[in-house]
This record gives sequence, C-alpha cells and structure tokens, in this order.
Amino acid sequence: MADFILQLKNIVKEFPGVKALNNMMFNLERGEIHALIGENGAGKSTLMKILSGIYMPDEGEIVLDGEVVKFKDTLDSEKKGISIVHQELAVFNTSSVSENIFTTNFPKTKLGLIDYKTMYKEVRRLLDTYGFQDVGEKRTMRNLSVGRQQIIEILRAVKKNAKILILDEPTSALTEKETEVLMTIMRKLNKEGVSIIYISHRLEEIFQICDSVTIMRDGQYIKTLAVKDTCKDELVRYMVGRDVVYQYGAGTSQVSDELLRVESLNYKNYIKDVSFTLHRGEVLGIAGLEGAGRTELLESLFGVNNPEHGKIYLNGEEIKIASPADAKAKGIAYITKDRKNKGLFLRMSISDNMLAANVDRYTKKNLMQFKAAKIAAVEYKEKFQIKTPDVEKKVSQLSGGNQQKVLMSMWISRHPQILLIDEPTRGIDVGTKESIHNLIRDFAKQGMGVIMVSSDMPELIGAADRIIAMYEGRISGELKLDEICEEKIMALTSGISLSKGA
Amino acid sequence: MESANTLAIEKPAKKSIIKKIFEVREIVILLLVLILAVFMSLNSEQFLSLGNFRVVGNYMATDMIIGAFLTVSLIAGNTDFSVGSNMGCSAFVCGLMLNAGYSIPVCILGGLLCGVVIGAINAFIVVRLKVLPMIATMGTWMIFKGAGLMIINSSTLSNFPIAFKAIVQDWNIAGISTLIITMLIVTVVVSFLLKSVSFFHQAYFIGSNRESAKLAGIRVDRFIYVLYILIGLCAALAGILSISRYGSAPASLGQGVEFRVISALLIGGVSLNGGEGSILGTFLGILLMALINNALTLFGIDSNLQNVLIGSIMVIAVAVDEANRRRQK
Repeated sequence: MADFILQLKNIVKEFPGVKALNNMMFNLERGEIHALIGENGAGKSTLMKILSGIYMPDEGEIVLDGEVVKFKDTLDSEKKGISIVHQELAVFNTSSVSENIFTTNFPKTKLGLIDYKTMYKEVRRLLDTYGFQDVGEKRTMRNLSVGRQQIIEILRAVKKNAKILILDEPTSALTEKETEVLMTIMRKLNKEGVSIIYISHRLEEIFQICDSVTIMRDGQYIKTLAVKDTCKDELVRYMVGRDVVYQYGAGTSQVSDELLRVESLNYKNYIKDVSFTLHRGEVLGIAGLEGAGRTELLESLFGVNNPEHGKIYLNGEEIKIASPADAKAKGIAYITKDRKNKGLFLRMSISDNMLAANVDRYTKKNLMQFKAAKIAAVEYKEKFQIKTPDVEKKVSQLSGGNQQKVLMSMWISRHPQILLIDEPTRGIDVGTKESIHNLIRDFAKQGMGVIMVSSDMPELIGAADRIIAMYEGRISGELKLDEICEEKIMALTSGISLSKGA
Repeated sequence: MESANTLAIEKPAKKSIIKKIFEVREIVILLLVLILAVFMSLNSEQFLSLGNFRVVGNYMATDMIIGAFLTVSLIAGNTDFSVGSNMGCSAFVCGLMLNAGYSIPVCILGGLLCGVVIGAINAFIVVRLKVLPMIATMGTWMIFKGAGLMIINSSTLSNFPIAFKAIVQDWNIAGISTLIITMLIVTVVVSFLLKSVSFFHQAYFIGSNRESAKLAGIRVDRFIYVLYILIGLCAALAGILSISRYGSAPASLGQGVEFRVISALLIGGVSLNGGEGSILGTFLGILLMALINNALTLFGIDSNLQNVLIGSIMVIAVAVDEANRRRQK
C-alpha cells in the first residue's frame, strides 16, 4: 500500500451551466513529483484552485496526511502545508526580492517593526542555497527577468515550508536554461521531502522530471501511470480519447482563390517566421496552447501589433497594416476573445455599440446617423437572433452568447473580406455555440475568409476546413481537412513532432 | 433559463417616475437651479432685473467657454488641469503684444496661438510621452502659471487700446455683451458637435472603453490631440475676452479656474471615469455655481461660503451617482 500524502476522492465542482469537475480523483504519494496533464479546459486549474482553497468542492473529500480536511481559504491551505505557484505571475513589481519572498510574514523586531536585517540575511541564505548568488536580495522585482521572477515566486512557496508544492505551468514563461534551473530546484526540494504536483503542457518535461502522471479529461479522472512505463503517444491518446464529434460545417463551403497570404511574419518573441495562406470561402483554424502566439498573430494582422518583418498580401497585392483603423478600411474584421474589455462597450446600448464600431459608415457629412445604426442593430438582432426585447438595452445586461452575437454583428455588418476571430465560443453555452458557428460558416460561404483561433478541440475540428498549428510562436504543422484529428493537433501543439526533427 | 433571462432584462422598466428623474443628473441640477431662482426672486428685488442677469451671465461666461470642450475631453476620459494657467498665460501674451503696439487682430491671434500651443503640448505629453492626463496637465498647469507670471513680472498689465476694451465693454447685440454671446455660441455649437458630429461623438466610445474603441478602429490619439488643442484655444479665448472686459490683466487672472470648472462639470454629471456627461449638464452646473455666487453677493454673505456649498454639492452629486450605479448592478 502506497504512502499517500494527499488523496482527492470523488471531487465534484459545478459552475452555472458547466460541471467543471466530475468525480475527480487524484492521489499524491509522499515525496514524488506527480504530473497532472489534460487539454485546455480539462479542469486542471479548477482542481488546483480547490487544493489551494480558492474554490470549495461541491462534493467529495480531501484527505491530507490521513486526515479529512476542508480549506476555508488560501491562507488555511497554506497553513496546512500546501503552496501553489500560479501560471500568471503574482509578484509585487516595485518591492524588493526579499519583500516578495516574505510578503506578509516579515520578521519583526522587539518593537514590532519590520526587521530588515534578519529578512535580508534569511533571503540571502535562501538564494545562495538554490544557486542564485547573482540575485541581490534587495533588487527591485521588476528589474529581474520574467523567469527569475517566477523562480522568486517558487522560493516564496518554498519559504512557507510547504509539504506539497503545486506548480501550474511554471515553464510557460521560462527560457530553456531557466527551465533547467527550475528542474534543479524541484529535484532539490524533492530530496528534502517536498511532494510536488506539476502541471505542464510540455510533455517532454514530464519525462525528464516526474515520477508519475495523472491524465484528466472533461473534468474527470482518466488514468494514473508511472512515467517510466509510458510514452508520449500513450499520454496524448489518453488526453484526447474522445469520440464525440461536433459538426460545425467543416468542409461545406466552396474554397476558391487565395485571399490573404502571409510571408515570414515576425513580432517580438511572440511570432517567428509565420507564413500561411487563406482562401476565399475557407475557415482556417489556428491550433495551439495558451502563449503559442495565436492571439498575437491575429493582432498583428489587425494592426494592433506592428510586425517587424514579413509581408502580407491581400488579393495578391502587398499591403501594410499600420493600425486597426487601417485594417478595418482594408476589409479586415477582428473579434477579440476578450469581448468584455476589448470588444464591446458594455455600458452602452446594442445600438450604440453598432455605431461605435462603424462610425465611418454611419457618418454622413460629418454627422452621426443614429437612425441608420439603430436600423442596422434591429436588422442584425433579427438576423443573428440576439435575444433582447430592445436594441436600446445595455449590452452588459445580455448573456455571454448574445454579447458575442452583438460583437459579431458590429463587425459582420461591415461586410469585411476577412474575419479574424479569437475563441469564438469561449464561455458560451452549447446551444448558442452552434448558432455562432453557423454565422461563421455563412460568412465563409459568401466567399469570404475566416481565421479562427480556438483552444476548443471539438470546435476546431468541427468548424475548420484546414488547421495550422502553432508552437512557441512558430507554425509547427498544417493539417488538411482529411488529416485533421485530435491526436495530430495535440502532437503538433505540444511540439512533439518538432522535437522529432520534422 | 431563457424566461428568467427575459424577466431580468425587462424588470428595470417598472421604476417609478420620481426615481427615474433622480437618475437624470440634468433634471436634478435644473430643479436645484429653479428652486434657487424662485427663492431668490422672492427674497431679492434685484434678482429678476436685467442688470443682474447680465452679472450672472458675465460671471459664468468664461467658465462655460472653457468648460465646453473640457466636457467633451472628460467624457473621453482625459482631464485638463492646465486651463486656468493657459487662460492667464495666453491673455498675458495678448496684453503684452497690445502694449507693444501690434494691431488688435494680431494680438488676439497671438493670444489664441499661445493657447493652441499649450494645448498641443498637453496632447504631446499625454499621447507621445504616455503620461497620465491628470499628471501631464498638472505639470503644464504649474509650468504656464510660472511662465505667465514671469513674462509680466508679476505685475498687472493695463493701458490697453480703447478699441480692444470696446470688444467686450461696448459691442453688443440687443444689449447682450460679446462675452455672453460667445458663451452662448460655444455652448450651442459644442452641444451640437458632441451630439451629432461623428468625430466628437466618439468621445463617448473612447471614454466608455478605450481598448474597444481602439480595436474598433477609432483613432484615439488624433482625438486627444484635437481636443486638447480646442480646449487650449477656448481657454485663451476666455482669457482674452476677460482682459478686454476688465481693461487690464491682473497677475491672478485664471488662477483657480481649473478646479472651479472641473467641479462644475462633475456637478453637471460628467464622470471622471469617462463615458458620461453632456453640455447641458455642464451648462447647468456652471449656472448653479453662478447663481450661488450671485445669491451670496446680493445678500451680502461671506463669499467664501460659495466654496463650502459648491464642494458639498459636488460630493453629494457624485455620491448619488455612485449609489445609482450600484443599484443598477
């Protein structure tokens, strides 16, 4: 019988409309490094949030060191020995390294003041122990590289004397060298008796450092394997393992001439040498993990980012896109995934939103054509079946799906040639999902082109006529309609075929 | 699920009329103005006289000339604290040129140009140097306050040509002075621009969500440039009309105007977070301030009470707004 430091039994967590975790189980042996893997949206983050006390499970129990525990909040779970380092940095940029490591538990002098001397001494020792002689304990956090900041965060967790350390995709922001440093730290901690839960999309790393691996899918436990007894292909198979197929109209429209061609586009570290073409009538899917450069690619095509090299051809003619206004004028529309903060004007009415994205079209002799915008809003409310009694309603009062339809109507009513759409159905219920895909397909059928970024596998497979996969800013492969399948997408987006030297 | 949704959407329609009225700032301020006016006319014989109307009109004119485009800019989320210093500095430039003997139109143009330049500097700092508008314009507020006093050696400019003084002192249409006419023109024109002209109406979109506005292809930077320049132009215009009216340019000209105007804007329903406000609201806010000042003068009460009252009204008005917003959520 194995010695489990942590056991999760039958964990259920529901959010309005979704069962994020369903009968999930997870066992962590004392002193092991245990990988947790699964697709985007499989429920890994939710599970970790339950472990760190951010969410309470609806059902099921957590057994820590043989005792059933309930975490009231993050502080409580930390007290019981669980520390988490989240994917997104949570550092205090303007404070020193030492202050970041101690945050709330500063050593105190007899008078109850912060004892800087002791703090600096302890941090110095900690930094030296883990081989960071070159990092000053008084350095301001923001002067460190992102990788170093991440490592300081990990040291913060270490400082708390955690028994269990959870690392949620710690390497997504790290360079290869920094990743190695991280691995060294992990091994060291592991030797000192800390058990580690390691979440990563990079399957390679799992084989380098982990003892066992648990795969989850759609909020459920799939399998736990010893790393030495498995291989990448097997892991991918378990991660995918779905037989539900969605039909969102892939391959149903007439694909004709080239509409857009991109040649070796580069933008900072996000996009490297990206080339592809888009045809009329086509829905081109872009697959990739978070941070693979998908959104940055769309934003470069829309003039939000200004790419450093590379050429863009529209209908065979080279064009320069300097700003969103420029892109818009050339018939490109962009529907952002961050519709609340970057797409819609939430405090305004549907009709005013229609106006805002189309000021140029609803202006005659410099005057605003409020009526024309309202007529268009009403027209598209009918056409897109936006569920609202009145187009004068504030957009904030609509459901997510209807908000997305409003955003799409703002752009499609311009009759663009190219539609760039990022995560078209994120956070949208299943029913509306289909109607949004019908809108996208109808648009393509009119001879226009769509570039669709999605983290949702079934969506990509069901809606895209062709898929290009991105991995760390590069295109790692292309799949034609008859080649598209989850295993291939998964392999390309995790960089497996790249590492094989393809 | 669906039916629950529709219900939730339709609910707010059943609000009582009184509550609705209190959610429209313009109506609340209009009521305050009316109450004050009725009270005044019952208690002071002078209040309803033509002469007193002129006093009130002249008092609010410069504030309104400055406040009009400032309202548009604040709706788009960009404040401007430099207007008072700009008003003073531009007027001093005009005054110095007059004393140097240049022709009156040239001097007026010189003053206006000074205002435009200050506006452009503000825009440059905000757009190019990416300094927050509040900090940028507090900086230029100090810079041009100091610079203005330096060019006039902290003394009062006077001895302007009679023809220059006549612009405000003598010219009139049906007994209404140039100053008041200018105010009315600015109010009507800017109100029209904000409501109906696309370029200016974009203020609401920019203020409501700047990121969305950028992605919608609205040229936000250009908007900011144009607005700061127009504010600068109007601040200079207010300054030039002031020195024409007084026949001199005291060193204190324009000081404190920025806070007075911005607080009037806030009373009138402009939100510092952007996205909200109207020229009518601004006009009523400035009118309310002028009436309070007028009342205190007519009754011979310590005019410092004006600040106490205005400050209180501003805080209450904004607090009521926040309460309304919370309730809507």
